[in-house]
Amino acid sequence: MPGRSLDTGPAGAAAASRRPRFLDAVSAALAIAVRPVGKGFLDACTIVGGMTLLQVRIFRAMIPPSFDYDETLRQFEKVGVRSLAVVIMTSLFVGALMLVQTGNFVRDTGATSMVGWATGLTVLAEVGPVLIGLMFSGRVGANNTAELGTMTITEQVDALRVLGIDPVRHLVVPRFVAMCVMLVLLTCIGDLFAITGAAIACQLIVGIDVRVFWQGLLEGHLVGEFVMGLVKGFFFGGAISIVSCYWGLRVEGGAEGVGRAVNNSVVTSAIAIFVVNFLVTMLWV
Amino acid sequence: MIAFQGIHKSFGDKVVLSGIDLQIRDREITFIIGASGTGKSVLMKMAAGLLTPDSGRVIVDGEDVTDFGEDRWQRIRTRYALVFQHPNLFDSMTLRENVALPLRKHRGISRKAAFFAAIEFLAMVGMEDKADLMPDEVGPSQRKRVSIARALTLDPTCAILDEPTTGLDVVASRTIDDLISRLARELGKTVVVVSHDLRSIFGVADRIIFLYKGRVHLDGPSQAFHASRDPVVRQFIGGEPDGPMET
Ligand SMILES: Nc1ncnc2c1ncn2[C@@H]1O[C@H](COP(=O)(O)OP(=O)(O)O)[C@@H](O)[C@H]1O
Ligand SMILES: [Mg+2]
Repeated sequence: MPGRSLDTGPAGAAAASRRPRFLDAVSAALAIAVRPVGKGFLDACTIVGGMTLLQVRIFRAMIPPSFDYDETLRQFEKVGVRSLAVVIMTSLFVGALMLVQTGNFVRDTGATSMVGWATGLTVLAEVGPVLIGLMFSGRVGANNTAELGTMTITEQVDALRVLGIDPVRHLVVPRFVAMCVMLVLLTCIGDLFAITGAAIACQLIVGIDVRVFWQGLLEGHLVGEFVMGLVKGFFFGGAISIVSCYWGLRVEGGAEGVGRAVNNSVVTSAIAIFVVNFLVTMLWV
Repeated sequence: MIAFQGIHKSFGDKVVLSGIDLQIRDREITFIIGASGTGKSVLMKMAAGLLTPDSGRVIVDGEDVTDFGEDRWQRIRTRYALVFQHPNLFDSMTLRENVALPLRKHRGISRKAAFFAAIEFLAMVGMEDKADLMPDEVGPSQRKRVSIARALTLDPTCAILDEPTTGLDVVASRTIDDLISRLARELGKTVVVVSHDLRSIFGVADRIIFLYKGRVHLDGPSQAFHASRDPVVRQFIGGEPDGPMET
């Protein structure tokens, strides 16, 4: 008996301790797997909350409307001039590309009159605003985060605060206004160049008479899509300005921090553009 | 009047201030001195609402401002000017535009009038002939002088200057000393100066507060400071590398 108990003793103990150890391992593994998810979720809440708060502060600062004309003008110029070339280039090629894709398809089916309408629809309503928004966020949004981030770490933002000047009113509102307005304008210009690119590709690459393209485009009644594209541009401008200002104003820790913030800003802007695009399209149709 | 009551502040594990009690009296020139890294700048930023203490209260003009939000601080800040240790001019504006900005924002005057007035303030620090340069076209000590001018535009009742003469040559330093005296003696302002500059400390201070190890180590007029037998104070004045002072 004593021998048996001696035999089973350690074995039983091992069995008894094996299960909790196994459970421990499982729960530890779960914790390791879940913790980043939970942390990511909390971080996302902080970011979305912070951006919402910034938006509220922007609207509060705009009532009554008191613009700093110098700063707003400077932003208009910077935002517009910086992105014009890149918008024109992108639009020309994307318009051409859209037409080549649809053109080959409609030529095979013989429905060539569709080509103007199909290209116009996709360019005006979806591809144009989204692409221009993305280019804009990479060019203007990133630059804005870097600029505000540098101002934050060199205590220029604190300098405004101690002079009794609200950084949101002085720095963020002009950027918000400039980006909303400019992205609408740039979407207009982008639409124009995308259609031009499409027309050129239609005649020269796909070999459909450009008059067929124009006719299809004009008879397509795409005013609604055009306006929706502009509305998207407006909201993209708002989203990019809020995202880029948010990351810029919360930079910590020197040049490295600015780099991280720019990175975050571009990624968050891209996500915001797709979410806003989805929402506007859903509400519109 | 600014009062600090039992101020504690740590950054992570690093304890910077551990129980600061002091009161800045009106119309006096108070110098705050101490070794680098004792938290003088941190304390000054608390007086401007840029940092909040972990515990303790900050009282400004009899009002407990410790938990004030940004909106309520805006009101106080136009009366209390803070010049940062590191000059932080707006680098997208000329020196003149920098100085004119608070005037345009708070006085509701035209650009032209603000630019005109800005020259007077630049003249106070001897920078009027550089008015149309950008901040990065002048040296750091000149940027510092311009940031002093910018802080004085709103006619504050109290000016807090964080190391105004560090990095300035002797002549420019004495210009700043004269300015400090004039602010207090002629214009009746309260001036708080953080400084290492012994000449300006003993030249213009009404009262000297020596911070050491996160606390007020000595507080009194210049004479008391000179007469002090405290070994740490003696080492600080003498600037000896060896002694009881821990840095
Ligand atoms: N925002 C901050 N984050 C972390 N540490 C800080 C911050 N500000 C100041 N410190 C630390 O607090 C200490 C005191 O700094 P400071 O007030 O600048 O000293 P000084 O007396 O030389 O002005 C330093 O060790 C500094 O590293
Ligand atoms: Mg300091």
